[in-house]
Amino acid sequence: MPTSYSRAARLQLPRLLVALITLTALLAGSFAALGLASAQNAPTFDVRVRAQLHEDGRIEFGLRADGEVLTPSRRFLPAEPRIGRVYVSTVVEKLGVQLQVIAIRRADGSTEFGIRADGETVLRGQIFPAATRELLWLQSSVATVASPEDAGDLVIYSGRGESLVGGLIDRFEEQTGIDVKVRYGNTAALAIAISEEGSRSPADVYYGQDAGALSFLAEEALAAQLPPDIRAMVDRNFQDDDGRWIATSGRARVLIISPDRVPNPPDSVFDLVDPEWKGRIGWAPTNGSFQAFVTAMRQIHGDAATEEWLRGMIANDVKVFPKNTPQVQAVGDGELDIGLVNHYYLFRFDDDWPAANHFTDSGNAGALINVAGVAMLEGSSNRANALRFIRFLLSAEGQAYFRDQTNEYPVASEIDANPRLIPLDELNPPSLALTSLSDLDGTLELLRKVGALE
Amino acid sequence: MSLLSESVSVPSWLRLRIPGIWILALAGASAACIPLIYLIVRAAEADAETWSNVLNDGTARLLLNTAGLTVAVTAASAALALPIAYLTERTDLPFARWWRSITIMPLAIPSYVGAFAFIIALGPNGSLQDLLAPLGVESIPEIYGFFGAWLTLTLFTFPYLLIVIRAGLRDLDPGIEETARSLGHSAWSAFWRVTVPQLRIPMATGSLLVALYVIADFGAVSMMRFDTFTRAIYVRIGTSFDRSSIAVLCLILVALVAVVLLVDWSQRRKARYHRLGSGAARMPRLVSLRRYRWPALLAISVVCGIALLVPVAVLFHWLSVGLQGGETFPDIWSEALNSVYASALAGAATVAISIPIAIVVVRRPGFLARVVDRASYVGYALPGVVVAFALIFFTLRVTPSIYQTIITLVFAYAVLFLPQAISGLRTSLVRVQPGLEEASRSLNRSPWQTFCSVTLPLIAPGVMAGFALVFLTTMKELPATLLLAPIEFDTLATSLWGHQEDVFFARAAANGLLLLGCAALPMIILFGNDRGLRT
Repeated sequence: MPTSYSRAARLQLPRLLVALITLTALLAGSFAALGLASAQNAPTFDVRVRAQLHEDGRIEFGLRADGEVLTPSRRFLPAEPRIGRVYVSTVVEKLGVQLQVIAIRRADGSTEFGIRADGETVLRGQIFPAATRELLWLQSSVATVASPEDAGDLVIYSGRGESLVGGLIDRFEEQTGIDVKVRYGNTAALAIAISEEGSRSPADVYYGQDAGALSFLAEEALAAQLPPDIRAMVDRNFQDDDGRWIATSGRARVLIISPDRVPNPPDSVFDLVDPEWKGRIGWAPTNGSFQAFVTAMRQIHGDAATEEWLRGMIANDVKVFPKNTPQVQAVGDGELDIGLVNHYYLFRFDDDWPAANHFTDSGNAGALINVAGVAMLEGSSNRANALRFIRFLLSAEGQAYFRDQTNEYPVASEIDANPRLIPLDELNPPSLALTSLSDLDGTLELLRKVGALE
Repeated sequence: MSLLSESVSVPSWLRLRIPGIWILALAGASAACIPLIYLIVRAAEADAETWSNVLNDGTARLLLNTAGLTVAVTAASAALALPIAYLTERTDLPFARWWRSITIMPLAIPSYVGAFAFIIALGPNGSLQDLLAPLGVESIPEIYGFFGAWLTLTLFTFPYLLIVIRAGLRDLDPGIEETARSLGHSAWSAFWRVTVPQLRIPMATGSLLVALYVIADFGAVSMMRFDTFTRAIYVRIGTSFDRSSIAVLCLILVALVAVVLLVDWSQRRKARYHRLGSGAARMPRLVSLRRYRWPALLAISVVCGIALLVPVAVLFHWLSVGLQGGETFPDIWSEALNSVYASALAGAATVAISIPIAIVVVRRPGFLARVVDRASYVGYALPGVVVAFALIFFTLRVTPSIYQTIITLVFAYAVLFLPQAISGLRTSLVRVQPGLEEASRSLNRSPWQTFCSVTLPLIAPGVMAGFALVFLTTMKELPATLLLAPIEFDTLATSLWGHQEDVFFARAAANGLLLLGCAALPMIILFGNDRGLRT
């Protein structure tokens, strides 16, 4: 017999296999059970009115739905309202139900509140006494509201990360009751995956980091045309010519600089080839935003000038980085003085990180504004929900999210600018349609030719 | 080496008596070739301009870079793995059973995390420089480029070789070494003249695993800014979206892989490694290291320290920075459960698919068996994202109902990591005397019964090694998981990637540490137990 092979081993292997199979079955079972449990969860929620008296005699009101405070934009009862007249708030959405607060001033000075859900009154006769303490929120009793039977599904392929846009998508799901599923991944890989899937793609919406991937889907006729009302929300420069994709937020190319070591930063990327900056500059030639910037430079200044600039940069010992964040890191670490990046990478670091954005004021490619954007897929079986999502991204709420959470530029609704940024209209970007940035092959060839990219 | 005698070959038509095993083996190998079929279909759409566009002056340099890195990493990995395997298996190294688990843990660290950690620790103005600055060291050698890529890949892939060599060592008949010793050889000389030659198959299969991993790796080379072929493929994916030119580029990579596989093919001579006589039924005697005991301990600690402590320290640093910055510790237990679940399924499925292939390769040697063996490497040598594209293409055409389910995902893992399971198995299988199986058959047991009652228990260490390899590699797999997993099926690796991409350090670090923990547990169970699975 061969064998130093022990009895213990003979017994243990089948046991291990059995244990493994049991574990797998248990896991699969628990997953299935979880799935069933969530499916049976009836979509209802509890809602109540909340109101407070202000010092000027006005009454502010809002809603609280399952513990979440909803604030309508029109939410004040004037100090001296007409007796008996019905005042209605603007709509707020929860799980696909459109909620409004109704308020009526009664002759005795008290106020009666109620709730309308999808136009039907679901709560009435909630009395807010005439004499109450000022600035104290009072709450009404509860109404239980059922959301529409099935708001449907939406499948999003997102090239933008979950920690960036997950919160916004959750918000949309919460408001509409639509069952949203997101596949997060790499912008380019997801676009190619959609083209491999073709008409069988499970995706309804593609949400990409850059105009190039979106233009690819448009060119392949995988993206559907968006309706005029959506197209009218965004500047023509920030959407496809045929309306097959539309921008949702913008980002500016900037120089990330060390304020200590670069007290007088150059005002144009073309100045970076100056011997003054030799060995102090960095770029990320494999990064999509960088390549879009080089493409813009070719469009505006021509291939010859672009090639000369690229060669000048290389002759100036430009350091190569794999992507943008490491450049911001390197500037803070003292490894680098100037990097070519997008404006928002800095805000991912601590406030006291020793690096600063410098917006070049040249009107040339170095000040390019690129976008993240969204497309509805031609094969989508949930078009209504897809369009609803796109409208949501472009709404004041969606745009404020990009301004506050991702530190990007809003592109649609009129909202206040991000205090950390120079406002979009004070920037001096080149006048260039983003769809003209699709000639990436030419850019790659040029980058290879000069040796910036292998 | 008189025990290595040429095997007697049986006429090929006789070997085809049992077609069942061939059907299974051929099916497994064909699955691994799905990406190749996809690439040929897509490359056929390319016009001459695409070919000339792809095949430019840079191509030769890329191939040279890739080949150089592959050779360097494989050689260094062998130089690390062979002594470590011997020290932990055959000597009285202190805490040997713990080292057995710890030394394979670097496999659980995704190469992009490892590379990032090395840049922070060893890069310009990194921690090492800070440490050395008071000693008057002004600057340390540049980590970016070839050196960094080589260092990272060596430290995070040498355990592939280690696991396979170790399985080979365990199956080795101690009698051979003892004979050598009784004939007057020192332990050192017996090791070089008897043990190492006996380990030729594990060394070759393990080296192939390392070499092809290096060829397909993207994480380390992109962080270390070293241009290899796979990096060029990713760059093209990120910029041109043109599937046919991507396929052309991948086919050139396949050609490079074919060369590696052919070199390996020509290296393997027919030889018999199993015992002819009855042998000695006992554990090998441990070699006493005597005064080398503590230097050996120091050496192994240094290797594991660099490969494990540096990344773990960086992860803990991120965690503390993130938590101080106001992030909360994330709830990632469902990600951990998903990772373990998918990796365990992948390990079991891949081992199951690989058993017929390993049997065919070892028991029915011949041209067809070699083709089956080589074909099984195709998926492994390609970048994961390309394999994912191929499986999207394939699944939606053949079995659309399982698209983006756990079945497709596990299948993708099997296509990607089949050679790892085969390598684990075959080193065990070559030690099993065919006579035992034949005896069982002559006692009227069916091939299936024979397999279950005779072969499987004897190759248990190989099964476990194969399972462990696939499990660990699946835990950190990223590109195919992102595209093929059921929607919203987050794993620790995808979650780590997402948060690192968006610079949420605490969340990324928590994912990384839990990934390491989840990988460590099964390894301690499988390899930490001294008696359990050793033969």
